Amino acid sequence: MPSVFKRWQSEPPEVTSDPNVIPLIDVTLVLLIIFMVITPMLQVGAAVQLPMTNNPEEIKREEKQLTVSLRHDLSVYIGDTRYATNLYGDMSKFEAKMKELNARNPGRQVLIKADRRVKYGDVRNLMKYVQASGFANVGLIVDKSRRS
Amino acid sequence: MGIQVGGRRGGPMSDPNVIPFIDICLVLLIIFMIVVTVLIAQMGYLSKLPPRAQTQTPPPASEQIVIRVMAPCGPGQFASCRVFINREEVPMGQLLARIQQIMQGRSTQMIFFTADDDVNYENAMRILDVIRQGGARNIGILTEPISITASEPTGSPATVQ
Repeated sequence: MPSVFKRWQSEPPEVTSDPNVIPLIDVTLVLLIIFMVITPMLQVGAAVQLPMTNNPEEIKREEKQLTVSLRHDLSVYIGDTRYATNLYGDMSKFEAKMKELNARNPGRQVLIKADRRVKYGDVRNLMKYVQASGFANVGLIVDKSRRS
Repeated sequence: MGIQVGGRRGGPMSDPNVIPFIDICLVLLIIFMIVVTVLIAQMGYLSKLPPRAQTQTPPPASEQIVIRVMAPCGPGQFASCRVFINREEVPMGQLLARIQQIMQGRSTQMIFFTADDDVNYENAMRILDVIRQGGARNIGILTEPISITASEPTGSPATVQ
């Protein structure tokens, strides 16, 4: 017999009014750790400041989506990996990768995450590369404005 | 609110007080749950990149609608952006109404969108937002710069408020 019960048996008039919270703490901590691990994994692509607009449509997340990010310093990412340090510099690695991805799985949706501070011309040039690789469906990712 | 496990008549209290700890853990859990649901929603504008051959010569047919954003339209200067529908300049305040009028009854028609290179990306997206709000569901993005000669800003009077 566990000694915990022995103590209760020896003092019958003593009543423990507090619930046993240890399992609750265990479950809460495990859930907390799960959410902490999942949260950073949800961010796809490079860290950019997305443009804010009033009522964008929701783009469903799919396995096949390809995320291309353009950062403020004009570096270009596919997924989480940087493929070019400057949009106007050496883009051969990016082009080769995009062509390869299109050859392997054509018709994928390309999501473009561009920084709000870049010029439209930069994004247009990036889209030219995407178009030249054979992709036709793009989604321009923005953030919903919380001002209104 | 204090927990008094085992502390009878001045005896030593062997169990730590875990209630504040649980409180903090639960609050953190709720914060993470909210953050995850916010991050899962991915917002944006679905559009098409027309194949190369078409973009080099944008067909100026009357059916074709090309919306063009022109400089000056730097960061934070949304009000000074100039928007053209085909060759006609539309003041920012009337843009939504004009697009709704155009899209009436033909919501499947493709609208082409383009902007000058110097236009800030966020401003371009905000105009794309207005176009979508006006009912356009098929948005094509022109990747080659186009020149509509009749809409050169030098000749037309400024009508932007």
